[in-house]
Amino acid sequence: MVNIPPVLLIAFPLLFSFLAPLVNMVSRKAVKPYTLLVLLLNAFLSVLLFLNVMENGVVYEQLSGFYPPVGILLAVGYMGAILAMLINILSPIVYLSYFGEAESSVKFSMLYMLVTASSTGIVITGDLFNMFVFFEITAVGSYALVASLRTKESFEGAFKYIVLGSIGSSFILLGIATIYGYLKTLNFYDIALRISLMPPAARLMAFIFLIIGIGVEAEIFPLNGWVPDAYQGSSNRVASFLSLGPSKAGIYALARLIFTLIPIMAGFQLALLLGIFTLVIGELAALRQKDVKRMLAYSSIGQMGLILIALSLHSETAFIAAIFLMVGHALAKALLFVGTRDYSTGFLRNPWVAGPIFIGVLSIIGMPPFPGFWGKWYLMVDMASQGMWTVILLVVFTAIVEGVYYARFLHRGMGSEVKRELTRSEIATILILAAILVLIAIFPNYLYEPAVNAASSMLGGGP
Amino acid sequence: MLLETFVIFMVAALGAFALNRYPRVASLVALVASLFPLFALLSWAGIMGIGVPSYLVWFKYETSLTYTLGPGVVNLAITPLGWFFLLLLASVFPLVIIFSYSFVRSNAGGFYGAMLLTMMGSFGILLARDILSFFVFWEIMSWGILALVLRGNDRKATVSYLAFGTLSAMLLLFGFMILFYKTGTFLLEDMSLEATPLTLAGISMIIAGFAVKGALMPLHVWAPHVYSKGEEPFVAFLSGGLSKLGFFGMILFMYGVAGFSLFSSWGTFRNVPLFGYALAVIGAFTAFAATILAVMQDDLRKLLAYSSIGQLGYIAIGIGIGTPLALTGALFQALNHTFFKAVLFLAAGAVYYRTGKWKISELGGLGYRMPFTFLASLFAIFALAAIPITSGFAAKWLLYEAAIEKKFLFVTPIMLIAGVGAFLYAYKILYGVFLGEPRYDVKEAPLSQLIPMWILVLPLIIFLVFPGWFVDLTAPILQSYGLTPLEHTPYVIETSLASYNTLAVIFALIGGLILAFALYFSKPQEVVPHEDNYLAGEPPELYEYISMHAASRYYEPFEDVFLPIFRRGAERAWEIILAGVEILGNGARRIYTGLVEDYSIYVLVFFLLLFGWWLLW
Repeated sequence: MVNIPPVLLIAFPLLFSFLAPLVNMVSRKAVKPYTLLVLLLNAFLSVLLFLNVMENGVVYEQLSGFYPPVGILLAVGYMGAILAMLINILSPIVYLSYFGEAESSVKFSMLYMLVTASSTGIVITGDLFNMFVFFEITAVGSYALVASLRTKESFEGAFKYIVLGSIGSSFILLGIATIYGYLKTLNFYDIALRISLMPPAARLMAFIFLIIGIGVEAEIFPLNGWVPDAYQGSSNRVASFLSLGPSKAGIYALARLIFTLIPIMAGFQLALLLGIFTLVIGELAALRQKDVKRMLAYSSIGQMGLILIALSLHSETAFIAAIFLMVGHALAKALLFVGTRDYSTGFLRNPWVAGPIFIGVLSIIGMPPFPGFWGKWYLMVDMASQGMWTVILLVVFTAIVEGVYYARFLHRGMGSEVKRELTRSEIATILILAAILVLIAIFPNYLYEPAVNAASSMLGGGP
Repeated sequence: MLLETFVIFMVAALGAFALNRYPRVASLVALVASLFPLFALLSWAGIMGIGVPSYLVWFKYETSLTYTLGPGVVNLAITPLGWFFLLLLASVFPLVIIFSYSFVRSNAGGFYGAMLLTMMGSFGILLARDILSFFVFWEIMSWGILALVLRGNDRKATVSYLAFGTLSAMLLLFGFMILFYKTGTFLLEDMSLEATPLTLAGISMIIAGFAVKGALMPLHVWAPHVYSKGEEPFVAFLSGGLSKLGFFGMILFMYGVAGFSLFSSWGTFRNVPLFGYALAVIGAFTAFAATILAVMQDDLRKLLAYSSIGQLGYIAIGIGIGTPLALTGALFQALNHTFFKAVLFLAAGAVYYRTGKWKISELGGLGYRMPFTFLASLFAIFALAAIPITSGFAAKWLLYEAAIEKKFLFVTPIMLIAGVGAFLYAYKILYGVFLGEPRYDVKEAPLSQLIPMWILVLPLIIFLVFPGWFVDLTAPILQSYGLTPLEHTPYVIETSLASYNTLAVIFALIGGLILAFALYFSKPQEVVPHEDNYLAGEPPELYEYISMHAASRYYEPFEDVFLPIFRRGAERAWEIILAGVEILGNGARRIYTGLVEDYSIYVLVFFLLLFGWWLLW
């Protein structure tokens, strides 16, 4: 097996994204295939990296010749490898849906590659400040992607995203400063080793700063005000991309914070509380939405809450649940956002669209055998073995609420009015996504075993 | 061959879906796959003590199977209870597929695909021996149904089905989790439960989850919408076959997993556990209220839907009482209901296929035009109304005896009243649809619709003549729960109160019929036009035909009494609950004001809250 350096995953799309204008100068038509090719190359690299991690354990790479903790370190753990692969495989698939569009914007393609690279960067970095930088790139790129539709709504959504994103960034910076002030280090594992040297009050303060900052990107209530507007304003493929890339990177950063950086009891309790609020409020708000994209956005918030609950339980089973929920949500939500473009009502009239959308909805509601089910099942098993009946009751309640609004959604899909048919490339996208969901449903082991490794590694405080 | 059967179902479902453009081929694919559960039944007949000649056993099925499905292990094994319910489902399923050949026109591939997935889920449920695989197959079955409900394109049906389906799933999941927490195992055999309040809560949730599928009141709200808006072959399978899975689950978890002694430790009343007593009362209430509602319906499908709900209530009564007599009665009722309700829904479909009408008041006289459909439904109606030309009578008789034996003062009279009510609405179908003035000049239903109906009628007649054979079927089930089966010969079932002798019943019936015919033909008959009964020879205006129809306001005084009480009672209650949740939803939605300054303030307030926490800490 070729041991590719993980930094290529970030460097390739970064480099090629800045070369895209050159390609555009040569031929406007070549931009889309060029971007797809770059993304596919990245997907291939991410698979190689994943296999490498599965075989040899954590892959470290130090950059620019300085040794850690001074130099920048990339540390690809099991969870990082899973998420890097998820983001990099799904991003070309979602990009594929762009092919049917008449317009071809080189700026869009550049931003898309950029955000793919920076989201990947968040999940494979081993350095707090490095993560902050990637967070900034992701955020700035996402603002522009949201605005790329150039409608009033999209500018509004992007503006809200900018305001809250900037507030979040400053909180992250404060958190980093607090930690650096005490420990003089930014390396995750160095911090983790010496976090007990920090005074407890400062440690908690750093935790508060960081959870607020990261929570904005991870769509945690009450920091997620931008989510519905940004998703509603952005085009379907951008919404789809946001829900698979940046939001998953955000939740990864949150997991990194509560498991590795500052693993304190109070942190887990706070995360549980936030998760419950995010879940209940997100799902309830989705119930009353008329706009499909807004409804899906609120549903995303609810799912994020569920993932956060799973993370906050701090047990292996629940962590596996979190991984299944993340993967299931990324796939299914990406599918639903692409599959329901332009709020048309008749999207279930075409069997090739109806099948994938049906599968996506089933996975999100948590119907077996799709990944969403395994997530909810393991979450419930873990909560049951701890006797957390109230939380189970809330999860059950929100699942029923989900059932109601997704039923309305499906019924809308049976309507006769079709505003705009999906293009062939969009249908190809949702078919591929549905096929991946089905494959995971039939062979959950290929996700389960990495998830077990990720759980034991993360719970042990490692990468 | 067991694993292969699941693969065959999946491949056939995909194949049927892909063959969407060739509905005939798709139906053939579905039919071939639908026969495999029957082969399995034949191969497993040994565990029921039935000898099947070896030339009929085409495929050898393993009696148990352990299969690693990713993170979980699927444990499958055939049990007598599973075999019995598989008999019901597997015999109805190919017949509704045959019926669909001419009935389902649009997007047939999707229909067959979803039907096959549903049957695959049911097959798995009946074999599942651990709660994980039970739940997985249960949900596969549920979402197969969801796909079929979506085809009906009715908002209320979709929303209520998915809402109640998720409710049922979550109740089951919650209950399973409690059992798992208490016993530490997924395997049904290994579960030894102790009588604690938590276990009681878990078992109650599981039973409630099954009650949703069995459409017991007040969890039945989805059923009238779904039954009345789906395509008839699917509805026939749903009402005839799939609704029984709820009762399969109830018996499995009440008597297979929990057991009598556990229920008895939560209190008994006249030697019946209070838990079972409550279930019997709910069943009796369901039987009664649904029957009243059925009497008041004019839409044929709604009538059959409420009738279904009511008849399923009887099964719950039998399961609740839980004596060998009652369980035999319940299983007998399940078997009868499977066949007669499937016939009735299919006949309704055939009527619609030819006339395009669902309203009873717009139909009439079809018995002259569609005599074979009429005769098949006549048998089904006899079974439904428990008239002893069919085995419907025997089942209800056993249930009555079981209730009387345990001195159920509340349940028994209600059952009897509901029995009369069943006769009222059965008569409405009979007269309103098939008798009276012929109003449509239509042909008999096509052969692909008649054959399934007539095959479904057969068991009703066979088990009337040989009720003992049925008791033979239930004996292994009762024995596996430590109960003694009823004593019987092929014609006579011995019970503690009296014995049920089918020959005596048949002779009494024939004697009564001869007497009735003798009285009828003793005077010369004068045939008068239909209208004369009403109008004394005055020719009516055209529009008056509608109001004159036998089924229009057929039971008007009856409706005046009951309509105010029963008007959408349960549905109202659920709508109020949903409205309450929607108010909560509105509250949650208002949090997202759409103003970025508000959102920034949220962040600030959140920070201040955490800061306050930090100060206090």
